[in-house]
Amino acid sequence: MPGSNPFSRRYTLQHPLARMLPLFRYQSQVYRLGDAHPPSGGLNGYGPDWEAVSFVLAPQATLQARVNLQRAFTLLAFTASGGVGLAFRAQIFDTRKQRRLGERGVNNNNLAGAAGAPQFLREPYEFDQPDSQVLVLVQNFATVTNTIQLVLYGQCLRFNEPHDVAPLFPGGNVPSPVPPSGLNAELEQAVNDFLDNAGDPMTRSGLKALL
Amino acid sequence: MPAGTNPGATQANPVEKPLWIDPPSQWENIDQVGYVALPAIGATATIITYTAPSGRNGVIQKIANNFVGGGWVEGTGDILWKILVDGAGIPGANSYSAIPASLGSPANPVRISGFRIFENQVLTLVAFNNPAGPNGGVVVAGQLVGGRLVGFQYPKEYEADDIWI
Repeated sequence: MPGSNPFSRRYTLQHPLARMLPLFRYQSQVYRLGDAHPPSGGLNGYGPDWEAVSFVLAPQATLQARVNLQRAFTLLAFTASGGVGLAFRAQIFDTRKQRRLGERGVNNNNLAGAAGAPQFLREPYEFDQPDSQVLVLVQNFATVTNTIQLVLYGQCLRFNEPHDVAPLFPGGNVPSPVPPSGLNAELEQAVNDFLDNAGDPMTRSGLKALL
Repeated sequence: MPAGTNPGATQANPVEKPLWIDPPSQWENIDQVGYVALPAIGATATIITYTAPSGRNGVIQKIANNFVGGGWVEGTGDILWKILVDGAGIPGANSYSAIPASLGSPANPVRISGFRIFENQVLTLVAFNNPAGPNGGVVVAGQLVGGRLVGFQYPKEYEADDIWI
């Protein structure tokens, strides 16, 4: 996989900003500093994606939501907000791979950054399977009704972005039944040329009618 | 070949169902029942507190909650029972965060699909005398609220790593 971390596991996407991180205070220094020396990585052609799940949770209630993810969604960070303060627990599952990202709920302080700041992951997690979904379970442990939004920030590919690793389309590569217009015109011209050179006028007109 | 074996016979393997359907051989019973006095309007009373022991995961399969006394109409929402795990609703079992009715009596708890509990989790059944109910809650006059939780637990070493939710 392009951009895989040469110093880590193979085929593991490296956070494009990870090489810019200092040893300390890295959460406050993760932003792209400039384009003169852009961080390299395997996210060329990707775009930012905020997948948000919002709940209005009754006191001490729990709810769940599934989000259909775009192609090759690569989870980079969490951020969260709450109406009456942040007091919730969340569990996250990759339903396509049937993988849990936590057996038990993670408190918001440990999952998302403080005061609405994003909590960037040291190692990104890619939902690389076609038609991936993420399942989010949220528990409100406040004793009042709370409006909670949990945002999964990441990068995803456009559905038809050329890419040498990621499948072209959710569900796998889908060949287009209609060739591009330019190719279609060339093909039609070639067939017409062939027919024009055919000997029998009746056959020629008959084949053209079939077209 | 050992004497007495039939080479043409196929060996029947026992069917092993998931732990939350059929308990394994080292299962232990969970049966918690409790009654407490109806709390004041706006207050919450804890009926049952159960901490899953270290090294044990389990499943709750039957529940009950009821009201003893007068002044409460079933289903009004003047009293809400809640089953909580570590102080919040049960993940994946969203229906038990505000129970407005008696789901069976402790003598006859109702079967539910079940929910899993994990070691060291604190499972509680509480009753909330809801001032936002249609009658403004239930005036306290010696009533009782009760409940029961029934299930089983097993050594967590038996958990398969392919359980993903």
